[in-house]
Amino acid sequence: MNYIDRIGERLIVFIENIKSFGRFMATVVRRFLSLYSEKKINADVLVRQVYFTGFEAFWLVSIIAFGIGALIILQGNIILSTFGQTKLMYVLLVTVVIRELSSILTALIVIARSGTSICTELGNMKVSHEIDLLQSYGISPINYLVISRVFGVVVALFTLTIYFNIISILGGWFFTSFFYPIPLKDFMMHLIGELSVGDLLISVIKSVFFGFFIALISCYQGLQVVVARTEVPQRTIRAVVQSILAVIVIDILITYIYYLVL
Amino acid sequence: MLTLKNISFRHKEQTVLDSINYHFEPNKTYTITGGLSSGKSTLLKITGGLIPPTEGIVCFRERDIQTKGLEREIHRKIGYVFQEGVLISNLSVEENIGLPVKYLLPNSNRDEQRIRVKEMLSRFRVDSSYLDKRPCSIPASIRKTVNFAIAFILQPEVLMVDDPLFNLNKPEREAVIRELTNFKRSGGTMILTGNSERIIKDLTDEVIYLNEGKIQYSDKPELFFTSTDSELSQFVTEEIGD
Repeated sequence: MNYIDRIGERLIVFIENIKSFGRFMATVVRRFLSLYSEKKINADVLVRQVYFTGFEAFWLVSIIAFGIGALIILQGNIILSTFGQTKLMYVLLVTVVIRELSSILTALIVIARSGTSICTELGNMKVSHEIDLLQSYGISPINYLVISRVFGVVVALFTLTIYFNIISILGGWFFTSFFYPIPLKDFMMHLIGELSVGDLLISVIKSVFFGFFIALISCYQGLQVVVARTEVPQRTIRAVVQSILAVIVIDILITYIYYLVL
Repeated sequence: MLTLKNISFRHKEQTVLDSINYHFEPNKTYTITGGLSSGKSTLLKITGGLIPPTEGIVCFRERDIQTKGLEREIHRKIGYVFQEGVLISNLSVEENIGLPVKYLLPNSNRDEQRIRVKEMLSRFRVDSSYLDKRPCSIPASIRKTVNFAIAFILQPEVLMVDDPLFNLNKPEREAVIRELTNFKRSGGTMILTGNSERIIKDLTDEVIYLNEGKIQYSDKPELFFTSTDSELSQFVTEEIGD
């Protein structure tokens, strides 16, 4: 087989994988809409997913958000003060943290914690025939396992992103007050002056798309495990890599559309 | 009752099942037997609608078992017990039992169901102290008997069991044979797999011998044990036993 053949073969496999994922996504969306209208979403799995993805990541998100807010102010203050433009720190906080970093960093935390755990759990369930067991009861694994997880991750990521924004602003204020003692109220007034509804909206819209694709990719890769336990870590690595790529591509697309519209 | 029409199954490059045609009649017990990796479990899974065949269809009362939207209706009538005794790992034994009951018998009374669950577990000699435990903390033998209990609670018309006596200790083994005998007497249809002499002699009406992905023999157990076919008699001598 020559080099061109190998490229062609890989391209075919790539297109087949995209098609297979597209079919999976269409099935999940279709089933979600029908289950949502019938109020039949698995509440136990949904609550457990929101608890694990959202609540248990609370401290980790707090530390990172606080640190990021502080670092932006620290770096910004050093650079901007040389131009006498320290007021631009608020613009920096809005542009860098609220528009970009809050959703993307929260997404990375969720990929590392929940994406890997979803993929591993479903992969192991596949190997130990638990998916077959559900099918033997006539229960669709997509309805029972996937939809609640996707919905749970979307809700958790959405909430965590808002929370990240709040904590990073507090971190920013905390470090600003080292350089220029400023009451929180004044700091917030300056920040709100630079903040538009669009800034907040873009942050939460991104979080919804990120959550949807992270959970979907993780579930898809988990369910692709066939027979061997050794496939589980391989699929988990793929889930992480593909989720990160998806987050970056979606981020670029949404940001581009945002600037196009405004 | 169940008809296999030209069933083939391929995994990667390997042909596991090759153009199988068969009709399972109601109120009879079938045992699918064969050597290691002969495709017994795969055939049972396909017959039970758990995996789709690569080619062909399985009909349950003239309807394709893979038809979308019929899953619940069909699986309500077919009970399936896995070889290793499979339970959902993050649910307790009680939640595991409650899961199919909730989905397949949504109108049943909860208290009534609890009584039935406990009664069924005692019939299979499963101590009720296991109810709160997770599958990983109970013996494999108990896991499998819980699988049997779940299948019986749903009162299926057809019972499919992958290697019924595999992984069972003596007390559970006796309980399982007794319950399978009762199910057969009550007019249920059973499709079993495995090479257990006791199962074939005491319960089976028809033995299906699978070799290289094809049905090579299908007849009464008496004829199976006295077959003059050299390959089959060698298989009976070497593989069939308890």
